[in-house]
Amino acid sequence: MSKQFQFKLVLLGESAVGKSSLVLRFVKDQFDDYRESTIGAAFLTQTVSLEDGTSVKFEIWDTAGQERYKAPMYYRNANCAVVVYDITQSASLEKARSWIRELQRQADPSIIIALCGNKSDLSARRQVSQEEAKKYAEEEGLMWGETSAKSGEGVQDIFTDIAKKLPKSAPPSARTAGGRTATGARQGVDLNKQANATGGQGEQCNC
Amino acid sequence: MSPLLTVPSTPASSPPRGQAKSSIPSSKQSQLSLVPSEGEDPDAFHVRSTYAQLDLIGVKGDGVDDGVERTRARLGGSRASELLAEGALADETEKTRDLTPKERELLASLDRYGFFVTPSHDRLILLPAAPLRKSLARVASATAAPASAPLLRAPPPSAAPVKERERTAKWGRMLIAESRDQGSNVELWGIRLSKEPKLRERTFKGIPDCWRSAAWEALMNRFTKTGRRELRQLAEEYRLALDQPSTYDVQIDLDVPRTISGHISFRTRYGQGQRSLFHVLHGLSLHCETCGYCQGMGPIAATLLCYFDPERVYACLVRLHDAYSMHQIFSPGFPGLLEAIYVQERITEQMMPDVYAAFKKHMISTTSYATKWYITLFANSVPFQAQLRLWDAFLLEGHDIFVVVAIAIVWTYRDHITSSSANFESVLSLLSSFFVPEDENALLLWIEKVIADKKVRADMQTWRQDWRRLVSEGKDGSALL
Repeated sequence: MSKQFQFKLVLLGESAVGKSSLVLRFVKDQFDDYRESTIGAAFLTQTVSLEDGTSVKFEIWDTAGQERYKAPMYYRNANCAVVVYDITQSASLEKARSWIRELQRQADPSIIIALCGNKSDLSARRQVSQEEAKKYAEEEGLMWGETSAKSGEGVQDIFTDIAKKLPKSAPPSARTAGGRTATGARQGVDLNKQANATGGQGEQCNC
Repeated sequence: MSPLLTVPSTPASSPPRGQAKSSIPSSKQSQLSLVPSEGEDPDAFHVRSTYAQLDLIGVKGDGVDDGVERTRARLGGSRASELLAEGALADETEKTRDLTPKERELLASLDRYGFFVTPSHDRLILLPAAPLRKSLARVASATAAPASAPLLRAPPPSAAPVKERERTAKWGRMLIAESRDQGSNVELWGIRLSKEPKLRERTFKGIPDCWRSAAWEALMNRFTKTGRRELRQLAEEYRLALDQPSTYDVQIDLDVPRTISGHISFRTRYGQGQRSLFHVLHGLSLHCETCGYCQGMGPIAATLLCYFDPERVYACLVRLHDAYSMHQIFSPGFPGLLEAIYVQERITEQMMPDVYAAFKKHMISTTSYATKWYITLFANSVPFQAQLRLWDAFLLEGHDIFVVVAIAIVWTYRDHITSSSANFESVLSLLSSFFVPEDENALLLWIEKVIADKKVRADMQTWRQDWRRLVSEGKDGSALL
């Protein structure tokens, strides 16, 4: 029997860059022109088989893009993060940068971060050049790739690349039959904690 | 003068002025021209003025065509894209021409609520009726059941409401016109006093769809104790809001085209439904400084737009915000959501201790699956017809209903949750699904019984107070699962 490893992956990025569409393509190989905006977060899983015979199961937390829903619980204890921007919206790369800064400050230091430029099928409307994004990713030591959730291009690659890069030294499957192991910590957003935390933080919603 | 300019859906605004970068080709620009307000973000202004312009001109093939994106993607400078954009605008014949055979076919394929029958990419599961035949009581759960419920490939069409003709007649006798406008059109609906004792039972049996707008209106007036004066005030507030800038316009515009886009009214980019949705959300974002616009308001507003004109939808949204606890739900940090979840957890702990223990064991926080239930009021979690019936009850009883709906779902799947083979993933996937009730009537009847139980209702009040006390004492941080 092949070894299976399990990791928590979180998707972050500005509203409407295609986070849920990337997940839908990756998990079900489907696409909707319009996906309803994600409220809170959506939980899905998908397994990637690697050439060396191991397989990696992702527990995916697809988060809401609106600032209002921002909750550190989603990336806390995440093993990897896919930070998504829209290649046709330069402002979305700025938002991605701010997510990456936050992850570098607050997330687990061993987190693997992939920067992902989505909507590559719309390259005629491109505002973010590959060079610019790639250069930034290299400077920050991030993985980088462009994807099209619509055509499927690059989607499998980015998740497979992450799967390859994740450390396989951890015991296979971080979860025992009884639930989370001590290090696994609890999953799910705790908006309660967020409500308490927002008071002291600089980043507030526009109200 | 073009007949298109007589459409009075947007009030005349500032005097015309040259538009530097419009999304509307100059040959089609109407006389309406907005100017940016002081300090208004250029992108936000671009959004606002595009919707206002298209309100006067209209779009081609509204409900059928996809339309052309003008705000998320600025129109390119090329002649080809300009022609494409111009071609998507309505022309003089748009409202008078005959439907094409393709359009007739499309209209015939819609369900009774106006939705296209398209394959769903959600995780669909049946919400079985059998568990709902047993009333809520303290129970022990089984461990031998499978951890997951069987997946459905496609949602079965919602069963046609039973006894619709009889019920339509009964509601016709129960609703009265409380006031009429100068043209003798009903302005305000109410419930006939002599029929009040029958109201609850009839509402839970399902309001006949042809009476739904009148009945919802009457229920809201009743619950919020508002009437003609308030509605006129809100109508005025809405008209004024249309001319004000909102810092949320860009975000609203991002969400509009992806809100119930499977419905014919909301399918076409910048079609009438999308424009109305933009306008009412824009108005609502200005109503409360604390809440502004929050994702989740869209599906609520879109559902209301299926029953009311935009001006009245705005009034409905304001009343949901002010009187149906939605202010607490949408405020930053979502205090009302956390309170509802606290109450939900207390009921679960009291009535289904094994389920509560299973949530604890698998470390599943209620926020991770129930957030969207409470924020969108079950839009996008159950079929549209079932959502409407939940809303019938909601508008009668208030937000407590949704706590009971949440309990109904947990109750229905309790043996899956406590299964010995259940785990974090199986439970969370189960509760994150799209639920297709096997029998809507069984679901509504179960909810009606729980909400009518004075003991349960009193407990809910107490727990709400407990939660507020915990919050005020700063002890809420560890009070939830």
